[in-house]
Amino acid sequence: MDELAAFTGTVAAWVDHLRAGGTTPWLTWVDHAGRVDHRAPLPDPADLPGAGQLELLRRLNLEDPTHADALADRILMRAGPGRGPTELPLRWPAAPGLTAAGRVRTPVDPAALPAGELLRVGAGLLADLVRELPLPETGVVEGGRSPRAPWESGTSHETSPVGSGRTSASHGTPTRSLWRGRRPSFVLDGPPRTVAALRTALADLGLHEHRPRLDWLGGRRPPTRPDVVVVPLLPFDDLLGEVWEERARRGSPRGWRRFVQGLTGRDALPPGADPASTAARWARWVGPDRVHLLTPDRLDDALRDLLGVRVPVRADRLAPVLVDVLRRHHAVQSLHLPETDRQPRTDLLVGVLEEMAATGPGALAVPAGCRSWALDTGARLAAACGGYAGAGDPAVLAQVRSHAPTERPSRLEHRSVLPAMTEAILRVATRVQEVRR
Amino acid sequence: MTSDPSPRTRVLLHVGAPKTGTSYVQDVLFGNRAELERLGVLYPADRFDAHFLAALDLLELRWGGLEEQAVGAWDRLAEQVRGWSGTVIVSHEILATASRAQVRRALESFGDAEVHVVMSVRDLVRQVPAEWQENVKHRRVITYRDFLDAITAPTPTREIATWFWGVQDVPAVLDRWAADLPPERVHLVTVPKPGAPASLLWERFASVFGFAPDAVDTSRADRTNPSMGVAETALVRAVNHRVNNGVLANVHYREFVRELLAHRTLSRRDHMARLVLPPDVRPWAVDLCAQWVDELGRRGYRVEGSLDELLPEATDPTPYVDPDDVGPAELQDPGMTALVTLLKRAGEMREEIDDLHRRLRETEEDRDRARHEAGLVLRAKRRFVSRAETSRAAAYALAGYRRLRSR
Repeated sequence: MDELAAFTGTVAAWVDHLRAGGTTPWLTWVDHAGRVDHRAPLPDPADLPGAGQLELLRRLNLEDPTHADALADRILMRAGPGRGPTELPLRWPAAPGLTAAGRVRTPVDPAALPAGELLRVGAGLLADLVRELPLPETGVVEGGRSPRAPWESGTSHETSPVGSGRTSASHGTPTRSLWRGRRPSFVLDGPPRTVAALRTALADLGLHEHRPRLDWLGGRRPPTRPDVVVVPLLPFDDLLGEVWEERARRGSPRGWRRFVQGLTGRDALPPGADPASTAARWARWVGPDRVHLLTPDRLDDALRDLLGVRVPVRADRLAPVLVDVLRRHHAVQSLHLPETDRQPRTDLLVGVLEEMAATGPGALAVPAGCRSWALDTGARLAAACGGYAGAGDPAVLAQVRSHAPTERPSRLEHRSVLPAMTEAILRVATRVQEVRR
Repeated sequence: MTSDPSPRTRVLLHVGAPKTGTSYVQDVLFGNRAELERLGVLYPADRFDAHFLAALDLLELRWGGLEEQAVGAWDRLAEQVRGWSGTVIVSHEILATASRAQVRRALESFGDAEVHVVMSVRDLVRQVPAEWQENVKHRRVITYRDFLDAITAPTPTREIATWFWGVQDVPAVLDRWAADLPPERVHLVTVPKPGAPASLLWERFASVFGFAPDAVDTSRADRTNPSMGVAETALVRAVNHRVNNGVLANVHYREFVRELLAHRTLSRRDHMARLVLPPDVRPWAVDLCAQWVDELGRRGYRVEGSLDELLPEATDPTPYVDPDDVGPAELQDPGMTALVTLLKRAGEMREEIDDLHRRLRETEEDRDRARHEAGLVLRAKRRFVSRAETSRAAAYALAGYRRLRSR
């Protein structure tokens, strides 16, 4: 048996092993299996699966071998999306140069492949599986994006009917007396995940945000002003984290580092990360006395005073590794679905991710190269948040925490994201199989 | 509904390599679609970048936002191929980087057509600097030396290197695209050496495509992607440093930096220092070219031109000018050229905007006038109807008017 035939036969036998749920690493397989005179006919060596595909299947088998048969063809016949090496040949210790093909197709030990390469292949598989999930009949998926504010009429979260340049004739009455006799009308604006959690919690108590009724009487009647505008304040790096996550929930493929870097060159911040502009925009309409900037430590008491209710103030967040899985999925899904069809699929995946236990760091630090921009911006925001009603010190905005490798890294290591990716793949694969039964 | 092609359908799949005149060829083909169809040759494209979008779709590649327009593009292209009886040409150079799985999908999508793979090739000594420059024109800020180190590494692993070799490693590209094809269906088109007649490359392509080179009008080609010089490339790289990170959106970068500055302005300057390989890297490229020529010769592919054209000279009389070492003094002149170009374009755009404002004002005035006139007529009608209640003459006139209107 010539060397190429021995190699091809051994690979084919290993592929069969993986298809059956096996988890033996390639080089261990070669040591134990020896030179296998595999069944004839041998596959064409040019058509052998790549090392990345094979290793991903093996890692999935390590978590749950019951999906191997259903997933094997999907993975092994699929190219990794985006830029990256094409099918990497397996290393054959008996003849290391046997399978070398070209400058970048150096034979590899699949178990030693960088996690980033497995993430690339995995993102493609995850996108394929998500496309097979059935959509709810109503077309509306629970969870996913933050529910829209009732005063948002457009497609962008960042639109608001205010900012018309109107100034109010009077700047309102002290908030403490507002709710005696009637509950004050309110709107929530600011960090998208915190606002989403508040909106949902208040709605569960029967409290819904004020609707300006702009379209009543053909727009000839001035819109009614809310009594209270609540703008939660968070440390600036947390504001960025919430906006990054919200954008991923709405289909952005950007990783954390590129997201922050992309902000440093712009003139304006996204609204969810700019409480100063948010407060100013509302104040032009309702007056600064009605705009309440609330820091995390005072939010609970302030809501009790303003709205007469206590709500659990906890932002509904995904762990950063899960957000990273989500945005990687979207980077591939956007290549397969028109824009109009993507959000329901993204929402389905968010539903899966929300069921997963939080792993990895709870938050991310601003990348080192952007830190001075973040410090300057946070300080500027803190200085611009004076003159409104509220509770707590706006100086909280100036907080930009330093990189801490475990608790708050400034970047996600691929090896920390990979377990989340494989778990997400298996969960979605389970749902796909359930639907098919 | 798809239709299986006639067995006479022949697909000429031009898969690369980048920087071998591919944009020019694609421009000629796109600009001459009607003439080609009369010759029985289909170039299926409703826009000049149709094959690029199809390639993005096949390769699952993101490309500065353009991928949004590519969803489903490969299948649409393949459907047109299957529906044609004759020769079909599909061309885009990024197809070179397709994996075996993607190649399988592409070949299967053509049904029973007879597929030929075409690859235009040029020696690495010219390809390497051209590819670095192409990276710079796509917003990269990597230095020339860093780029060279990445691609010459014994095991290139950086993304920029895996992309480079994915499209430029000719034997490996053909391993993936031509593994299932007989050698007579693989066509290499070698780019002539400098100094050859300008028409020679097109003549070679036409020979592969199966028609006379003068059967189409090559003057319609708009994109020639001429090279910039050393200082010009350094300038664009310096601009990239300033406009990345959210300062300039991709759509504006493409229009102003790549097209206006790089392609239409800086590449047309006189007395540019030519970008070449440094003396310590050239021998490596020369040696690799020799290995490839041996390998390609053994494979028995059809060659338009000569594989000897892939063998560069061992040395280059052109003095090496390091683009990483270009200082402010050298950047001043190309910088002024770029600034003047942008100011002229800004002036043109201001005139366009002013003209649009004028037309908008006129349209609004016409609209207001029409509304006013409609109001005058309406008020006049109301007064007349009121008058008809007290004046018999007006009442008779109104009744007569209503009878006429009802006919």
